[in-house]
Amino acid sequence: MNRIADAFTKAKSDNRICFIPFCEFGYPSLEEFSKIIDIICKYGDIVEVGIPFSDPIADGPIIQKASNIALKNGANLSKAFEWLYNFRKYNTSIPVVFMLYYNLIHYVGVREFFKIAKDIDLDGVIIPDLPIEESDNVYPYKDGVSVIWLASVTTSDKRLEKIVEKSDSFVYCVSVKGVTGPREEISKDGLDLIRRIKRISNIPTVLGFGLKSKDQIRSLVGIADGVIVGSEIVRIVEDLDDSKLVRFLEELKSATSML
Amino acid sequence: MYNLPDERGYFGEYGGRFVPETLMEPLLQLEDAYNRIKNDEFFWQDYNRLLQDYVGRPTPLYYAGRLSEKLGFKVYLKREDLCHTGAHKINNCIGQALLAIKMGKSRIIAETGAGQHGVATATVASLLGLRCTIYMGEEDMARQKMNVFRMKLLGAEVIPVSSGSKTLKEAINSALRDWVTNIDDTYYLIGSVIGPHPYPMIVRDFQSVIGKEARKQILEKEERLPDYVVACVGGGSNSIGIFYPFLEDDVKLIGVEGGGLGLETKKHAASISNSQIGILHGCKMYLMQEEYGNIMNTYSVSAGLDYPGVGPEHSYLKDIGRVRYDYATDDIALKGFKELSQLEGIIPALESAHAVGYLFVSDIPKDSIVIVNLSGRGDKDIDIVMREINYE
Repeated sequence: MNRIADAFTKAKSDNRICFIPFCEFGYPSLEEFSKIIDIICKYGDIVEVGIPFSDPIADGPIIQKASNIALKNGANLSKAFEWLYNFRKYNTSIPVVFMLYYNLIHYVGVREFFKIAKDIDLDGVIIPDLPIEESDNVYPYKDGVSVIWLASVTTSDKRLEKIVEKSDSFVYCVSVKGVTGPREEISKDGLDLIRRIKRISNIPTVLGFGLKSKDQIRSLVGIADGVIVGSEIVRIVEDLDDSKLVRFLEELKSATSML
Repeated sequence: MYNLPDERGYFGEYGGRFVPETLMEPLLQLEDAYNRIKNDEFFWQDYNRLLQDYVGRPTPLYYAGRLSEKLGFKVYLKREDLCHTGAHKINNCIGQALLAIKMGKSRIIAETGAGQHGVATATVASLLGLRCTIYMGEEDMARQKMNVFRMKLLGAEVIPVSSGSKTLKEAINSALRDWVTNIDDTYYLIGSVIGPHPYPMIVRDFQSVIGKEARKQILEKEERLPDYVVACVGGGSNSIGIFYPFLEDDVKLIGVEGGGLGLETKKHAASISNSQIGILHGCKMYLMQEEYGNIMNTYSVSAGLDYPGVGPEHSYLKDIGRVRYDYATDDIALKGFKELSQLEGIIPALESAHAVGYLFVSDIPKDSIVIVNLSGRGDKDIDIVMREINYE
């Protein structure tokens, strides 16, 4: 069973692109997180869970702040594994990927990390500070867990080929030069990046970094195979207003449909 | 023959390039540009001319007679404190800023802890007509006010960093975030032998002028190599700079980390003595961490040593046993600070004072010849030392 691949297939058959909401583990509190993720799972085709880290260099202010609060709440990788273990008791259908900085994996031990990940049914990992040149650090141990590589608007065609070649579920396309956080426009370079990948591979492409509105998502339908929305969801989660979150997720989800 | 890093940027198992994808192409471009200037004699002519006429190199190797008498062995001080701007940091800044210009960049950014690297970067930016932004932790800005003012006077923008520990570690996070956003026109001028490949190599190469000079100078004065070379280690740029040209000699090398209030208190910055390995700021190295792999907030009386990691090359030199790493606590550093001031009329930077203080507690045998890298001068630390020794 490959839940991530199935998610893309299913979205396609529904005439949609994949919607991948992000939330930070342990934010705004450990209890609230468990509630929020259950809401998010109703709308997401795949969910991305950020594991808090003391030095999130790829993240902008919103996720930095959430990560910081989550750490103060006592969130850590071990508790995230525990959460997923319990979550899988009642939800075995949605693919879950963890976004975490490499040191958190290294600290546990790469082999041990992937062993636990596989045991508790984690579908994939996104490691924002691990470029393809360092893939040997994780590849021998991943054992069925997908490692999702990032491609950026600065990535050359030559390196893009290597990234595509190593990718086994989807390529995470970083749409901007910069850190995570909502932006008004989708850059032309971001769209070009997707087209550059499409020219060399059938691997699904997912655009992330900077997305925040239904209009942006609508403009990507027919171009990308999926979208990740992170900071804007984290910002809304902060308000602790479930109905506001539901309205936002509904709005984004509806924008993923082909006309 | 010692020939590291390898082509993937590793020193043994340390180093590498653990960075967001967006930074990979800029790093490859940097590596490429550096490889091109490496054999460009005109580049090195420019570099050496500025070191001589602007920085004031070669710096003296000074025989510290009264200190030697007190310690029972001969101590020579490599006087990096006499460099323009007051520390060794400028050696690297001149080299990298010239490289930035070769790469067509018009803006340089840097992190700073004690402010010495920030001042040196701002100085070189002003000299070469580059725009300059310096990131500095709020905590460090409070303890190094004079350097903040110096940077502003030199025309740099100083951005306070208020997240996390509010020190050097966070300043690097912010600088990396700036670089990833502004890579088209911006050059990130890293001040220590840390960060993703090729930075640890580039910074080492530009700093190794210290050791090259010292080696030549000691041969002139003593007609033999020293028994020991001692230097303080934060990220590790002054120490690698003086150690590197001695690596293949029969000379004992000692790196002195910031022992803070003592290793048992957890309030220290002695990454190698702490023995954990991890990944931060683009490289694998000895790195102080809390449970679950979050990075520990370190402590040292000296802002320049207050960093949880240590350069990958140092990590490697530790493992192969080529360099011995030890530490000096705040108290030992303050002793070094006072002794050097009173015996030699030289007020050292608190960083360098760790290496000087270490001499008083080390097991260096009588009659040895020792070179200490006096990496910077102490003006910037006067306020802190006044507080620490309860000066009325």
